[in-house]
Amino acid sequence: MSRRLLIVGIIVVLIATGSLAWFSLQRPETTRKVVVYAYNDRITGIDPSVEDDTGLVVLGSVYEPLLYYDPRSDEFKPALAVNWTSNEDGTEWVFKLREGVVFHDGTIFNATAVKISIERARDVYRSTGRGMGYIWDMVSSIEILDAYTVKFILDYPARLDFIASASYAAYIFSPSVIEKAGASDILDGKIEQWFNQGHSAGTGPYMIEDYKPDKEVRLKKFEEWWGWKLVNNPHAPDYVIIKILTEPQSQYNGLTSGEVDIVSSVPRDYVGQLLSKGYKNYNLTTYHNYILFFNTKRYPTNITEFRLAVAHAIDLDELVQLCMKGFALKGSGVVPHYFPGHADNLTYRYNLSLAREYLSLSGVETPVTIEFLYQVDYEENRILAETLKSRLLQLGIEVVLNPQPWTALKDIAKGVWENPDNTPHLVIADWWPTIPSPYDYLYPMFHSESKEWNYAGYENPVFDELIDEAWELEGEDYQAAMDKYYQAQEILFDEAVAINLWDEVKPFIYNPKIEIPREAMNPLYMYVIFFQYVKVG
Amino acid sequence: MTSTSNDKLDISAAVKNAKRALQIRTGFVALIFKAWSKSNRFKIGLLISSFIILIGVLAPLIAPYPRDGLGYVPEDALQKIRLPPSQDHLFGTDTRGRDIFSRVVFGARSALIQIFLVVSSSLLIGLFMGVIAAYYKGLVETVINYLIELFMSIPAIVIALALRLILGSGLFTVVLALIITWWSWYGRVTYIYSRSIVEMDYVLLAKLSGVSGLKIIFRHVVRNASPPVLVQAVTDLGSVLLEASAINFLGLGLPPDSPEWGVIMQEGIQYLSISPWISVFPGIFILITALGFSLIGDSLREEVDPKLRRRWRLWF
Amino acid sequence: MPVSLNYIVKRLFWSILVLVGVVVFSYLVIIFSPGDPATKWAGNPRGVNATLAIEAARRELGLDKPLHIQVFDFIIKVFTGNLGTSIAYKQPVFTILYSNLAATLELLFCSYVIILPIGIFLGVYSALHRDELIDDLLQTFGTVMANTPAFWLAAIVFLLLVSSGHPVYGRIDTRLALETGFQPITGFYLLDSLLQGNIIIFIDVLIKLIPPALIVGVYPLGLSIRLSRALMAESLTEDFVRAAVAWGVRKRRIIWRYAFRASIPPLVQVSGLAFAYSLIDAMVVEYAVFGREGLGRLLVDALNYSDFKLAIGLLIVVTVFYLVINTLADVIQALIDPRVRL
Repeated sequence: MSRRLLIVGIIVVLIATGSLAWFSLQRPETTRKVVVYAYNDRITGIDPSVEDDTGLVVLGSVYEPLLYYDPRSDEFKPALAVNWTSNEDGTEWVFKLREGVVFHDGTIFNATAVKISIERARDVYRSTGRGMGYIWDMVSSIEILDAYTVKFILDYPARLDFIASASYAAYIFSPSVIEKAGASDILDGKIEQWFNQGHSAGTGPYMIEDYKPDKEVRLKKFEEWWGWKLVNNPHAPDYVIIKILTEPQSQYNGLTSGEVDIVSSVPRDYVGQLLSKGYKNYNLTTYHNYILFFNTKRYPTNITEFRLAVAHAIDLDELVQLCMKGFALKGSGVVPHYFPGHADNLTYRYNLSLAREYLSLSGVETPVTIEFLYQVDYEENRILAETLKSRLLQLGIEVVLNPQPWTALKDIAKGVWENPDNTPHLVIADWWPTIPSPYDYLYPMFHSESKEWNYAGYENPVFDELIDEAWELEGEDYQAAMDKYYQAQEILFDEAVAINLWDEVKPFIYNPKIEIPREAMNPLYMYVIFFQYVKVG
Repeated sequence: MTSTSNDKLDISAAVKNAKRALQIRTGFVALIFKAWSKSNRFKIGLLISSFIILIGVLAPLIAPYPRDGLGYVPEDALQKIRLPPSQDHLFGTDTRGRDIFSRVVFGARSALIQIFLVVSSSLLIGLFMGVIAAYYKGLVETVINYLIELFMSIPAIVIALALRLILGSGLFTVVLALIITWWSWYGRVTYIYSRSIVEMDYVLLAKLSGVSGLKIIFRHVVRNASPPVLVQAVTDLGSVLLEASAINFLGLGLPPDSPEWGVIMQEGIQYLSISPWISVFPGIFILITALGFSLIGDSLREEVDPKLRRRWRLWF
Repeated sequence: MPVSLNYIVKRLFWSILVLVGVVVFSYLVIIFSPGDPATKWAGNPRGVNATLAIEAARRELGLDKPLHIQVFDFIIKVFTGNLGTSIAYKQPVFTILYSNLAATLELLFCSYVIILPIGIFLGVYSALHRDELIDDLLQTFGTVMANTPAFWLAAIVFLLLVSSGHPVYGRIDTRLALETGFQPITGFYLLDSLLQGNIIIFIDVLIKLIPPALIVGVYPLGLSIRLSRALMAESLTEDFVRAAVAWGVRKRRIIWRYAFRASIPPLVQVSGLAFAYSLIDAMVVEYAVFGREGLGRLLVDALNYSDFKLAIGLLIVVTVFYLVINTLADVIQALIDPRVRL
């Protein structure tokens, strides 16, 4: 009896396994072109006026600014504006808008939408300090000259063409949003809530079909986008899935199993192996850099010579290899390579004897202990911290490591203003740009009024004045402004306020069945892939 | 002549004293000897555990690259990244060029510190709480019993998460999280046992005459409840190691450059398909160490309580 | 049966008390640990918005009221399922907990459904061949299994799968889900795919479930082999079994209907304890090695985002899980075994 049972059992198991195997080999016939793009962080929000973090990866495909700027070729590309002019002193700008553009919900795009969108970005910042709307701070009023012409009147001259091409706070959304969200005016918090529920109201080539900020965001092709005729790409994906995979290992697995088509953050050690397996690589030199800040208000990092000693004890060549596996450029100045205002020759030379000299000049007695705060979830930061700890020991400097998640790190590092003696001596933070101007790097991280991101606690009125003047000079005399920015970076370099470790070169590895042409990526729009140019199959 | 006879007396007196001193421990010690003679498992377990303890103690001498072992990145790191196991590096190197063998050897030290700290503290706390509850009865008893139930229902990992968010990373976090959850079992066993003693006549007499019955109870409990509780403690050394490594593996305990088996494995998970040695070797050691203590515990348990019907908890 | 009803009610009441205790404990942890509780609750916010967020957190926690009212309010909040919005996910904490709990539970169920019968069967077999070589081997195997770190085995298995060219990761192939129009209904994808007649997704989810399920099953396998063997070995020496043999009852009947039957109550109880314990194993393995969503992912994310609300929510959910499973196991055991009545 039991033997028969056993035989029956075995047959059942065999049939089950067989069908399992057969089924797993079946793939349904599909004519839909789907691209899956792995992104390594949760989406923090998708409000086009207020979002200032990871939401960019979605915003870049769903919304459009007035124009795009590619710093690699120093070219502007018209988007929702077809041309733009300024008056002589750069205090008035007129933008001619594109006609025949509709939003995802069918409403017509015109000057009203531009006015509302930009005023919202600016005013939300002014009233609550949130978002990157400070870039529009000099706009005193926006006039609608006619349905497709907008005039900006500024308090002081500025390069509004650069500003309008920003990666944040410059997106145009449909005014119908106000009604749909049940809001009373553009400052009503209901609008932000409405956006973050997953609704979208942009003009971009893709619209949001499903929004799960911690898992995936599904985008669907917007057939009525104005640009399809110009782009002429019949192979563009019908659907884009932005899949949130925070672990580099998961991204690697996704790519190799075929589930994911494009990855941005595989462990760098795997890149060589992937390329030899036949995957393709788009090596993007980004404007994403990592800055090592010194706490200038706490002993011993408040002594310039001590900071210089540490700066010269860091072997950046070794670190770029060890931490970034060669996928970075050694930093120079504060502004990254190929970005407007980049300063060459402001890299600290690795020189241990020079470091020792500075150390003795500083008068600091060794052994001395300093604390290093870094972000625990980036592997490159972990390697950096451990290597730094071992290297600085040679100088008699003992480093206490303090790994923290990003949210806790921001909180602790900001303490340099109220409580400098309890704030770590070294902090590492990374930055990517909003607008193509050096002010974007210099102001938030080093201006004494920027208590939010200035982790060095740096207060130098000369520096402050220099960059403020430069910012206001950009509209009048661009070259003179760049010169001032250079001088400002020299000050930072001489005083060793912070060390720009490296500018990241990001390898985007993708499945060879897709083609990613050059236009599909622009380092100013970090992590954004312009899928309208991508070819599938 | 008188001196020699005095010496003889002294010696036998000394032996008698020694035997009496061992009285409290005779139960446990006898257990050990019995287990040794009877069970192969005991021998293997003891062998393994002693091996690990030896490695832990002698770590700085055994490790070929002691600086690597402590977590420092070597000078020539660039040449040594992720090397596979070889003669120079028995277990290979990790992504910072550190010798894995040295890190694992120092990891033995870390493992032993963690498990002994946790088990001994839990034991002491549990003992204390159990006796107090039985002795003082009433509100104290109810409260302590409630606390025991409470902390038995919470898993250590989630406590570790909360502690990590508050205290940051470090030995304290993982050890504290484990102690908080582990003491309760010892507390309960001690309580049940003390309850029966508390009613005994000589304790009541002592209380009546004003002497602290507490001390009597303590001594009684320690003497009589020791064998099964200590056996459980030995097995727990293995279980605690598994949980502690899991907590460290998730990053909820010790910081990333610590020589701790779970931490090293966490580092290696990312590179599993290209440098599996980083994660595989420390895991083997976790297995072996837990197995060693578990084998000792198992064989001792067989001696203590052949009738296993009601001691299900011991299976954990 | 009034006696057993009383027992169940008593257990339930005790469990609720314990749950309340856990909630109080977590609240006290927030309040009395270093740092400002409102800041912690708000997730250490930054920038100009920080003050707003902290004020909101202060109101949520009710820090302006006296301590006992704070605790009471907090308890009410938890029991009504309102723990606020997660900082990591920007969604209500309990919503996230539910969907991820379903994922982990699915894994656990699968694991135990496969492993427990195998383990018990092997244990019984081992007991029947007591003290023979096979018994020793099985018992050693069981001991080794029970002491194997799940995450290490997971790494090994994962490595093998990747090297053999059949990587298994994640819970479901999102692209496939999109292409075949799969929608989650209950949160248990195996069930949902069957409900929608989507065999392809069913197979996909199943294939991705099996390796982690087997790994999570390693500890219960070891446990059940040893436990059922010990129980069986003991009950086989009992008088009633010997009597049955003397009566000429068939061997198979004796084994299963008499000897094994006696072992069921303790088996149930220990399996319950083990099931609760395996939740932890599952949490460690599923996300860190296999990239599946589930409670393990929440654990890691709560850490990365300093999301206290999520951490507390996790603590509560896991405790509830423990309490439910233990109470269930005890109740089932009490129902089966008339000797146990407290």
